[in-house]
Formats: sequence, structure tokens, C-alpha cells
Amino acid sequence: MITVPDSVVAALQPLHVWLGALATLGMLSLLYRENPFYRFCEYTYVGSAGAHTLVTTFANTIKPGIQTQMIQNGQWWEILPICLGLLIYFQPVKRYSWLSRLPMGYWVGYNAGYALTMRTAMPMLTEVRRSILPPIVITSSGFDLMASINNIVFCTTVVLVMVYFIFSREVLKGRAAVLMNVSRVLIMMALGVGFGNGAITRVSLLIGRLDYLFADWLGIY
Amino acid sequence: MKRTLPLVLGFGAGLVMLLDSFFNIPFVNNLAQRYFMRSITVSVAWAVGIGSLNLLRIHFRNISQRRTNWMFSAWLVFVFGFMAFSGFFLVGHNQNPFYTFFYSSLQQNLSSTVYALNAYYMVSACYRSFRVRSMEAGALLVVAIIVMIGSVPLGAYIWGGFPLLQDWISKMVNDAAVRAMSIGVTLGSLSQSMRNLVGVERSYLGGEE
Repeated sequence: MITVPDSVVAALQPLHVWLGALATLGMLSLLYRENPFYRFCEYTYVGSAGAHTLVTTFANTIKPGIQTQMIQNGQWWEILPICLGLLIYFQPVKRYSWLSRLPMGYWVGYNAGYALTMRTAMPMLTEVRRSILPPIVITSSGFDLMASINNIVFCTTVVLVMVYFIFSREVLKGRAAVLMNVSRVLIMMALGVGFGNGAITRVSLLIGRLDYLFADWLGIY
Repeated sequence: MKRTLPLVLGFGAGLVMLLDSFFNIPFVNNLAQRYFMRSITVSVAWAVGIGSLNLLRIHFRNISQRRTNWMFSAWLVFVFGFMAFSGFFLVGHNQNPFYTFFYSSLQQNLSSTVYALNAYYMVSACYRSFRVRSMEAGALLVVAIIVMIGSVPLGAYIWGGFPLLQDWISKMVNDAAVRAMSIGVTLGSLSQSMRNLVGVERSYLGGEE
């Protein structure tokens, strides 16, 4: 293992904000047009992200697995799943690429079995139960009109959206087709909420980036 | 054998998980909870490198064939090697200050900016798609505008009802529609899982024999 002297890390610290600012500007330069500075930052991002995934997996799972589980706890059976996982690396080798299907089959089968258990069904049943609300709400102070309207809107929306996804256009003909149109409007309203929230989130990220450039890097405010 | 063996392995793993969930058989429960669950974590962790391997293969090919932008590919390989070397061989791995310096100054900032760039593309998409051509498009447009205005302080400044309206639409219409969709998705995932388990769905095995 290699140790980096503290003095080296301390010497690098003044570059921290500069590197971050250049990386930010490089990525934002795409807004003007595609250019070599953006490409440089893009490739840096992909390279470092790929390496970071590998390093994090090694440090958090692989190394503790070998040191703690296998050597300290004596769980040598873990060599079997390790070998299974390593079979995926046969994928680029044409002659033996079929071996990479073994871990794939195991993962898909395991997750299929896992999904079919109550672990998946229970949250869905809870969702169904929580969607059935009383249309008339009576509290200690009497009839609550607003809560009743809310419950009716909620239940109707759940049912109509489910109808839209479960029944095809061929089944709901004639007057029933109106239900499809109402369902579609409700779905679009929900998508509008998602779009609005998504846009706001991205704008707040952009504000964060501009704040980094103007406050942390340039020190304007 | 090349296609049957993975299916048998998958069916066996899935069956053990199902038996573990529905029956109280100590041997099966121990097998599923102690060995199978751990084996998934371990096997997936050791297989993570396939993505990096493919990435490096593509860029090494770019370099060797001197394709367009091959210099950038060379830079990518260098960055990958530098970060991987620092992470693997420095004391503390991804907690080492030298590694975290490059991670926080480059990776974090690049990542946030990539996501922030989506703001521009969303506005651009808005401009192109937010033309009211139908009632559905109108509903999306109106709701999106209400949600955006209601989420910022300016909305409350213009009209105090915007945040309340935004909250009501989010809680009533959005939550209800998302709940219905999630019920549908769960039903779909259950049927897809059954298809995978019994081997009806085999596309994940690839097309070749």
C-alpha cells in the first residue's frame, strides 16, 4: 500500500476550487455548442465515474468480503459466488461467452423468486388498502365537505387511471370511451406535476452550480 | 446445455427464495437467508468490473484505430487508470485524502453540472412540446406551470393560492395517479417475474445458441 505525504495533499488544496470551477465551466460550455473543452470534461467524467464505481465496490464489498467474511469468519464457501460472478468476464470471449449466462440466469432467477414473494405483494396490498377512502367524512365537529371531496377525487383518480392501464381501447367503446379520455387527462396532470417538480429540481441544481462559480470560485458575494 | 443450464440455475435460485417466503423449512430458510442473499451481493460485486472492461475495450479500440477524438479516449483511459490506481493502492482506498481530493473536485462537480444541464434541456423540451394541441397537452401545461410557480416564493408573492393549489394537485391527483400506476407496475413485475422464473422469458440469455 502507498502512502501519500500530507504535504502533497495540503499543496493540492488551493487547486480544489479551481479544478471544480473549470470542470463546471467545461460542462456548461455545451450550452454554447459542442467544443473540445466540453469533450475533455465529458471524457474526464466518464473515466473517473467508471473508476470510482470500481474502487467503491472494491473498498466497500470485495475487500471486506475477503478480509472479514472469508479469512476472519472462515466463510470459504463465498469462493463459489465469487467464481460465479467472475464467469461474466467470459462475455467478450466468443467461444466461452455462454458461460456469462450462468451468473445472469442466477441473478434473474433469484430476483424473480424474490419479487414473487410477499415482499413485493405486501407493499402493493398496502397501496390498495390506502387507496380505499370513505367518500363521506364525518368528524367530531360534523360533516367535513372538503375531506369528502378530496377522498372522492383521490379514489376516482386511482380507479380511472387503473382502468386506463388495465382495459384496452377495444374493450371500452361508446360511452365508456369517455372514461378513457378522463383517465388520460388525469394521467397528463400527474405527468405535469412530475415535469414541474423535475424542472424545479434541475433549476435548483443549476443555481447551486452558479453559486459555486460566483461565490466559491470568484468570491463575488 | 448452454441455454438450459442458466435457466435451471435461475429456477433453482428462485424456487429457494419462494419456498423460504412461504414455508417454514429450517434448511431452506437457512440456505436462502444465509447463503443465497449473501451470494448475490458477492457475485454482483465481483461482476461490476465488466462495465469498466467494456468501457476500456471501446476506448482502446478508438486509440488503436486512430478514430475521431482518439486523443480524448486516451485521456479517458489515463483518468480511469489514475483514479483506479489511487483507489486500489493508496492507504484507505476511497477514503484516502489524495483520492477524495480528485473525487470531490472533479467527479462531484462534473456530476452536479451534468444534472444541472438538464434544466436547459427541460426548458428546451418545454418550448417544443408545450404547445396546446389537445386537452391532454393543456392539462399537462397548466399543471406543470402551477407546480413550478407554486414551488417558488415568487408564486406565493403573485397569489397566495398558488402554493395551496400546487399542494392539492400534488397530493390528490398526482399521488392517486402514481399509486394506480405503481399498482399496475407491481402486477406487471409479478407476471414478468413468473415468466422469468419458469423460463418463458429468455431474452436476457441473448440470441445466440
